Amino acid sequence: MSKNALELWVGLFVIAGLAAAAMLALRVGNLSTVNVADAYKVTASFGNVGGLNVKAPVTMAGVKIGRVSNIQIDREDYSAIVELSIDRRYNNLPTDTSAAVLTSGLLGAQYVGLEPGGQEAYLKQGDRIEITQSAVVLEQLIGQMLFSKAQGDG
Amino acid sequence: MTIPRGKVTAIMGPSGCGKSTLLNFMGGRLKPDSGDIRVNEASVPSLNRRDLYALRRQMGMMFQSSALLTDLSVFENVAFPIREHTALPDELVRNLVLSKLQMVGLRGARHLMPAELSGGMTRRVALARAIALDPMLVMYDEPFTGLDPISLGVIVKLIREVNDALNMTSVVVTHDVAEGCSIADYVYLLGAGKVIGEGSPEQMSGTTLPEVRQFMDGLPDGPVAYHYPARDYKEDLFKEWPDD
Amino acid sequence: MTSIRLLGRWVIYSVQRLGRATVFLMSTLVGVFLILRRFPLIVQQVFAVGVLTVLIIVVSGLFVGMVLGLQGYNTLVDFGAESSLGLVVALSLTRELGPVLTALLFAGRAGSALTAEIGLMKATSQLAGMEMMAVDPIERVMAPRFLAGFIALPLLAAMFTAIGVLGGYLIGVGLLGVDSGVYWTSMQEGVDVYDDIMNGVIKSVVFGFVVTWIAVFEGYDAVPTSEGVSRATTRTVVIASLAVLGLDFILTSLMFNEV
Repeated sequence: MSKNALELWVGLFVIAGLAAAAMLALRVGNLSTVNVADAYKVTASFGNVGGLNVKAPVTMAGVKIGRVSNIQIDREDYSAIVELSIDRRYNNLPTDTSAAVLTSGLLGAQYVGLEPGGQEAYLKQGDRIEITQSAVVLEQLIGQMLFSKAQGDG
Repeated sequence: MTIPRGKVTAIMGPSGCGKSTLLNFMGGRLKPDSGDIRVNEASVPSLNRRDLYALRRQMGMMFQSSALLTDLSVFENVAFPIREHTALPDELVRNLVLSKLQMVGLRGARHLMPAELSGGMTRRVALARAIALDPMLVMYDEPFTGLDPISLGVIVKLIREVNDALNMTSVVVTHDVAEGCSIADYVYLLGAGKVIGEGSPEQMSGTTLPEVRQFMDGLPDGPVAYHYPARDYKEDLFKEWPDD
Repeated sequence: MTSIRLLGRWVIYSVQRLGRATVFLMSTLVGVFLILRRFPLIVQQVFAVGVLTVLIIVVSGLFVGMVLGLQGYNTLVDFGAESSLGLVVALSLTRELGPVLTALLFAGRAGSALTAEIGLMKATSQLAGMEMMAVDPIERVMAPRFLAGFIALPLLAAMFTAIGVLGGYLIGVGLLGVDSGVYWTSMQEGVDVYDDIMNGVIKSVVFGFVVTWIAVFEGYDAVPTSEGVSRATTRTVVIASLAVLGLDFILTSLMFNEV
């Protein structure tokens, strides 16, 4: 095989490999949607986060605008501190926005849903969301229902 | 042992006596346990890598198996050392290679691949490659083995001609007495790792030393015993099973 | 007693080989820096180990993707979760199957060829010949092959994964009626560029390094006879495959074990 043909094949090979990698990044992965590197972080404390995981989506009106970047326990009041990374494109969230840990479907994965408030000022990097609603834990719900039913009967 | 400059020296001896090892010492591929090898005043075993590689550029070696690079054509094989060690323009490389191939009579075969060559042609290409950089010393490891009489004659003639034309030193390692003697100016005879005889080919033919005579005349038994060392035959036969 | 001695001999032998392999790797890496000037040599080897392996990679990738599509659909449909088919296919491929299967195929196709080629060069004293021509075979022969394998494997793994995702699409969307948009969005929802795709790429880079190292070293260290070369070739495939699977376990537990 001549040298030119060989170089041509190798060139095609490298292009095909890089094209495949690009397809993976853009079409399979979500490089084109939320970019975590370009995000600002706010925190919210919940009494209970249920089965919420790091990297779970953060949505507003059902649209994904960020993701959970960290979950830890507050050393003082033992609540869960959830750190949310939100895309810079959505930097106009009112300061009285409320956060809730929600479940997609009855048994689906858990995510954080944000509900905008009415304040003029916007949330900034490091701010804290004050109004939160904990996860609904199915077992507790059922337990409570049975307990109240038993009380009613008694 | 001293190898005179500008001459053809033959190192002969039976198989396994250390002839090829000697060449490997000279090329610095192996280090001797004791003793020293000097090429051009430089002690080969104590050279560092860089100096050794510099020295090797002035050496050519033709291997018994020729060691042509099988993925390169004849032309590229001869061009290989030139391209690796010089930055000459392609035109000049071409002229050099063609002149070497002309010398061995294979200028017309330059586009063939090593697999397409006969045994004799392969040797000749290997010879052309060994002298590609005009070395001061060329070593031939068993250049006569496995060749038909015509190719043999060609190689014998070439080694002599190349040596005289390019004014270099040749060392031929061989166990072929007739060819070795016909080509050499001086002969060393090795046996069991030692020099057992030396001299011009005529002196060697006339010697009476039994070791030398056995080798020169090709006698099956003599100081080099016919039998591999073993215990007495009768004792061995009557020994009970299992053996050893 | 004999078996303990055998074990001891085996351990000593293995440690010696590992030592030789490490020394060899170091000189090869030095050679890689020296060889960077000689680009055509590398291009030639990328052709030999990369381009010639594309066909087997593409065909295998397509079939693995199709099997994943079919199998994933059959499992998911029982839970009414066939909308996650794209995610299942893409995650399996990017995290595990793409890098691992590519490395295994690469060891079988390109690795064995590398070992056999170098082993034969040694057996026909071409390497010794180079040394005597003052050309370092590690720099001239080993380094470009090593570098080429290292470059080629990640590219091949990317191709394998991409073709596999398309294979899953072909079966899932074309044959089993999963919605095309759902196939892609479930993938984009669940596959993370950094955690999944980048980790897959890191894996294939590590595999490329290890498989090529083993292949080139086995050739270089082969006993220079026809039997020795054939044994070295077998050893390349066996050791490289085991190394890939073992490393995959280690890398997976390091990468995906957090949280």
